[in-house]
Amino acid sequence: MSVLRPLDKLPGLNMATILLVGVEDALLQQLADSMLKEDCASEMRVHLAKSLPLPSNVNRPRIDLVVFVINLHSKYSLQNVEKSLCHLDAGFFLGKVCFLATGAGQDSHCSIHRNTVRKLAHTYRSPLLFCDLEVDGFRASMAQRLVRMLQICAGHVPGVSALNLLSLLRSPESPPLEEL
Amino acid sequence: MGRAREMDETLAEFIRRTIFKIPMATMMTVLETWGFLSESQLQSLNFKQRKESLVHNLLLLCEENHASINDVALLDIVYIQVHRHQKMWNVFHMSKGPDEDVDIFDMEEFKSLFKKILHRALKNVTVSFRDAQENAVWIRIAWGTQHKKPNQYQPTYVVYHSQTPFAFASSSRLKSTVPLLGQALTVASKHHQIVQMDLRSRHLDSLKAIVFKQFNQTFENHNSTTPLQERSLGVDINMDSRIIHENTIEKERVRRVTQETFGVCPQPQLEFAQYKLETKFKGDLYGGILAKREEPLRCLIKFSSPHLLEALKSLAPAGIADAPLSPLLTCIPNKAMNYFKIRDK
Repeated sequence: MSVLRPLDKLPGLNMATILLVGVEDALLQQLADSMLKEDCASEMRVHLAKSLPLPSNVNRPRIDLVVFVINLHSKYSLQNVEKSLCHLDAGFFLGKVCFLATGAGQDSHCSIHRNTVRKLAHTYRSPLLFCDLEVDGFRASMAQRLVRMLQICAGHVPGVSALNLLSLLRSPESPPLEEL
Repeated sequence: MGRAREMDETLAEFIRRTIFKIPMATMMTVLETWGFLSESQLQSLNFKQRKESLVHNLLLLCEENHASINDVALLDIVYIQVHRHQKMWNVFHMSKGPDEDVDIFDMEEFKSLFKKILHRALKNVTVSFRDAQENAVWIRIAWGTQHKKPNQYQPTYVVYHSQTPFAFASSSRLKSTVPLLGQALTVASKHHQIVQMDLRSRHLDSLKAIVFKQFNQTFENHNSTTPLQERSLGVDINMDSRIIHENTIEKERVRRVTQETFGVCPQPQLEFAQYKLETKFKGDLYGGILAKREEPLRCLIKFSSPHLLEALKSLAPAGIADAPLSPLLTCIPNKAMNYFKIRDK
């Protein structure tokens, strides 16, 4: 089993690569499409994967940001993410990982409590974003946000690093997670 | 001339109620298929008027043609043939004894025997037959008792395909009639035994496809596999070179496994599958009270969807479940069952 490492490759010239991990292919595909519609000075690559580890026989560019997509309606999608997390090098968690929970809008369909994903994100010290990816407008703004984060993580924004961003994203107002 | 003298009031009421439940959209088709009214009589009707007046005019025409209970029962059969989804259909499977020969089947003999058995048992019963395509006969039975006239408003509809061991009957509130119906069917079709299968649906044609194994035949006959394959993937293959699918091999496996289990043809339409679990609690995840219980943990799981089998088929390609799915879910068409009871071995 190969562990995915953040800095084992040299970056491509002006390249920014994001990896979306989640079981629902159609959702990932739509999110990827929305991201590519955004204006971006860097040359963007979107990799879609159902789970980690990734097949090792392929030559892929350096991955700058990993997004785990969890559908709150499906425990299967959470389990898949939890399993995948073991195949990621610890170095990624210095700002190059984020969790994206979708489906919170339809509360009655949720089979995963929001606090469960909050705890997960807290355990891995990574930001958690909520967004209903099935709503076009929400998805577009989330795509925009991810593109900005990707540019920072790829080092294309002068003066801000991934670690920098991570500490900025940690909001002081949210209740301490130990209480959840 | 007053109608009371011309026609029995109960018959008139039967006609009125039968016509009244036919929706305006299908009224013309149903009446034409019925074939009781002449072409000129049908043309004299004004379908733009209110339904009440139309029903009244139709009643007068039926009177003119001296309609009998059986004529109206035939109209009811035509109506049910057009609106078969309104009924919940059960499937009965009949079998012959080991040493019984294949008899030559005669439809007229079947009908008269069937009628005779019910008449002998109940005295008051209306049995009507209407031949349909594919050697099928539609039977309508309005049940009565020894002392009571048949109730025309809670009939049972039965579809029997000659020379097959299967019969389809609509669910009825009169549960007591099921054994008698089974008896009449076995004797008339010269079978030995009859059992009700654990298969129910509103879609009569899908039930037929399942028990006659027709959905596999379409798979062999038609070679239009490509569009279905693409559709079964759930998403179009993206042409944008900036999007890279990492798990193409896995995806191909899921697609292949799904195709192996479900085939490429459209699935028969069922609305639900029900699993009754009477198994002991296993696993130590929650431990304690549940794990130590001696009695089985009873629960009922019901999957429902407007098109259950297609929904199951798309679970794995959509990434909602692992492929292959549990055999309990995929065996529905092969076992011809959608009611299951699961016990510990």
